[in-house]
Amino acid sequence: MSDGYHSRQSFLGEDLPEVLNRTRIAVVGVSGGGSHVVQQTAHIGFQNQSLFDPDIIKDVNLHRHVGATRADVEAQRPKVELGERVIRNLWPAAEVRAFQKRWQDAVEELREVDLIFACLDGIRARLDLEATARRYLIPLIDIGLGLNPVGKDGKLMSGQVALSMPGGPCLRCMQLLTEQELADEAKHAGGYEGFGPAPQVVWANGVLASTAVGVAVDLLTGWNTLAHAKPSLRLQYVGNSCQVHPFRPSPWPDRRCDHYPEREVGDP
Amino acid sequence: MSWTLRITEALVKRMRRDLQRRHEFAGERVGFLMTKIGNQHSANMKLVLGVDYWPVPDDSYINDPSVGARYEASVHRGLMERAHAENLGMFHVHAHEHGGCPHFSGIDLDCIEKLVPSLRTVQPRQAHGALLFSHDDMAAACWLPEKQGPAGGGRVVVVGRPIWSRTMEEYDV
Amino acid sequence: MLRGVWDGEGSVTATELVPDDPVVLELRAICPRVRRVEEAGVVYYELPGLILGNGATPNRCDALLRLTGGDGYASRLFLAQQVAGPRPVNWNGNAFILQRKWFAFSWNVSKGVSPLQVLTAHMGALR
Repeated sequence: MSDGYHSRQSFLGEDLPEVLNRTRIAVVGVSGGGSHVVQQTAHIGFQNQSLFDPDIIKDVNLHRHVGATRADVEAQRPKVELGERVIRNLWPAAEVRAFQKRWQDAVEELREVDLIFACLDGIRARLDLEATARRYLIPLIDIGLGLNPVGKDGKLMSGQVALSMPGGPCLRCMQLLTEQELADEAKHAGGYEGFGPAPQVVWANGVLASTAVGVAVDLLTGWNTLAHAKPSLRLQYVGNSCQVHPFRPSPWPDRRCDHYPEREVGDP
Repeated sequence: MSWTLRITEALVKRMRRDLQRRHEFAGERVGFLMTKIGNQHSANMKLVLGVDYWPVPDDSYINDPSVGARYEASVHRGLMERAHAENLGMFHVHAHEHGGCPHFSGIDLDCIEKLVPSLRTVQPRQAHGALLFSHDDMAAACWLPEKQGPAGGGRVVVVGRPIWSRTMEEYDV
Repeated sequence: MLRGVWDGEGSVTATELVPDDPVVLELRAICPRVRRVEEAGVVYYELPGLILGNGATPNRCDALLRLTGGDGYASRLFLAQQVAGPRPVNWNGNAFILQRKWFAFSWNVSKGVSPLQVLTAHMGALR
């Protein structure tokens, strides 16, 4: 890495190269949101990445999967392979572990990372991933996007970026991953009534992913020392008005989690 | 084989708070960080997870001005019983009164080197070792299962906001 | 169940006989090695090698029983694999609990029945 590479991001701290070198991140779900995360983290300089996604790229993904091409669709390339390509085009010697499988089938790999980006559809999948992250004391950044009917014809596009820190409030404490949503998921088998498969759009995914990467960089470098300007644990995106704001003023930063006791750590 | 000791910021704060408390006669306090290995089957890197902290009780210290801290043999007995019964690793914890990166003294390493074999006898499947705080930094030495001596290539990660991480020096004992 | 009593110095000073979880005692009638486990604030009863009956293939499987709600079902029986029964069931409850993969089918069991009745009611779907 040349000395000039980080000159425009040197405000992130003089030990940035060391942080980038030693930090291992996982991107679980390398599709709409995940493809943005891989792209941005690669550009920042994160060269040690573990990617998890069982799917191949298809025509229906092209409208939102950054870095994907029609040739990739024709070649039926795995999504993780596209992610690896993005990283290696910047860092040929990067340490990339690409798993074309569900993270549950490679969980031993996941335990060794320093940070997880959860870019998954599905409530149950995110709940289970967070439970694993908590067991192995790994911070997790969850990204989600939804489109919901409002009134007769209206649609509300909203999403969130939530940081789940071991010892701190979990996604359920933050009122994400509710029992009602789990029940709806089981009932509708993952689709949204009236909207077909879960809606995804590149610009909204980009906003959420960029926000998540910003949260991650602050977490890993501590560059942001302004106490009054720390990102909230849960950030809400309102797609209709193109705004990101803290979910609400909350007691979460000081609140211990009731769902994950401190001693519930390690293998069961 | 490398290793990573991961501890939450809350647990680190709890340890620091305890070690800072004044004792009636002991020059310094000691406690034990209880740990579990989170990836028993990995051949690359051992992940050691901080589970809880157990401070040496006030009335277990022995008044010996020649050393920083001395405590009753029953403390080690209790430690070994817990390590065995609850499948835990044990890391001796204490603090040095200075800033900057702390270093284990010869006496520190001697003490730990005597403690680890006993712990390994009752709990061979977990890592054991020591943690040392300074005012603003920390160091660790780790004995991995089935390995002779403290393992090199180690790292401590404190999971907080921000995440703190340091690569540990290698120790010869 | 025998439990060690730790004193403030980290020594076991006594062992005491404490009553087992009454649910564990009840479920032992079907699965002798049942034990109570917990993850993410949810209690499960682990049922190693649960015998499912002649209608199921395989007829023996590790299982987890959840007696509380959480996903629109008042209770849920998770199995370590998708088991074939005499009639098709809707496997809509894939989960990863206690670091293992589990599968659950859609089956509603009335509230207000005993844990053993809940378990046998779920197993009834496979008989």
